[in-house]
Amino acid sequence: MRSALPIVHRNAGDALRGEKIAVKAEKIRMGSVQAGSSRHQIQTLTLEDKVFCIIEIPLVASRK
Amino acid sequence: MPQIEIDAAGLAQVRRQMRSIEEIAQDLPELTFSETLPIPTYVIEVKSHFFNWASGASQLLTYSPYETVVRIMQENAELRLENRELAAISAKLEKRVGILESKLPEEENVIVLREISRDEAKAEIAKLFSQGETLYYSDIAMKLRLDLELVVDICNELMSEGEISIADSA
Repeated sequence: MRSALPIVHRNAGDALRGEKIAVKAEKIRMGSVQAGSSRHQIQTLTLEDKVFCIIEIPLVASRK
Repeated sequence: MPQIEIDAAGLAQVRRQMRSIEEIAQDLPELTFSETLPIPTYVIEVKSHFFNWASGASQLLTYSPYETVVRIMQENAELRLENRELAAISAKLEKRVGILESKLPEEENVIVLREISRDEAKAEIAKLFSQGETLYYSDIAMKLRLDLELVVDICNELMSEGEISIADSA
């Protein structure tokens, strides 16, 4: 069972890994495109200033 | 005077063309001033082309008629060559633009976030979930034009209240 309250990582060096991550930031800088097939290219980018990231989860209304 | 190089075959072709142009030119005034004879459309068109050509060539009239025609043909050949080169450059540029376009991020969505109270936002999020859709935080933020952090916070609150839950597909 997942916790309803998210754990917030604030320390430099903490990492996030997920299938889908929603982000917001004041600055988004596109980085490099790493080699791979066109379907599986990995892109990098940097978020700066007032960054907030959350690993997405699909949510639905509870059945009552 | 610039040197013009032309081989025997080219010269013969120029002479043939000059002859036909001169013949047409000689015939045209007669046809033009005839009031009784209907002038065929193609003759009028040929006359128009001839005078356009003569007008363009007039600045070169310091040359002999043959040289004038040779110069025009030479210029025409140079323009055709230049046209081919420009077409090749254009094709290369189109290809490069296509590559650059494919690397651009998909259509940029600029949304202006609404500033509403937390209670209003919570009510709107709950209403959105009541429609039965499975939603991610980012979907809600986009649909309701709300701050992502606020959406996450309210969703967590709704989860703790048992109003929403994680979809089975997760």
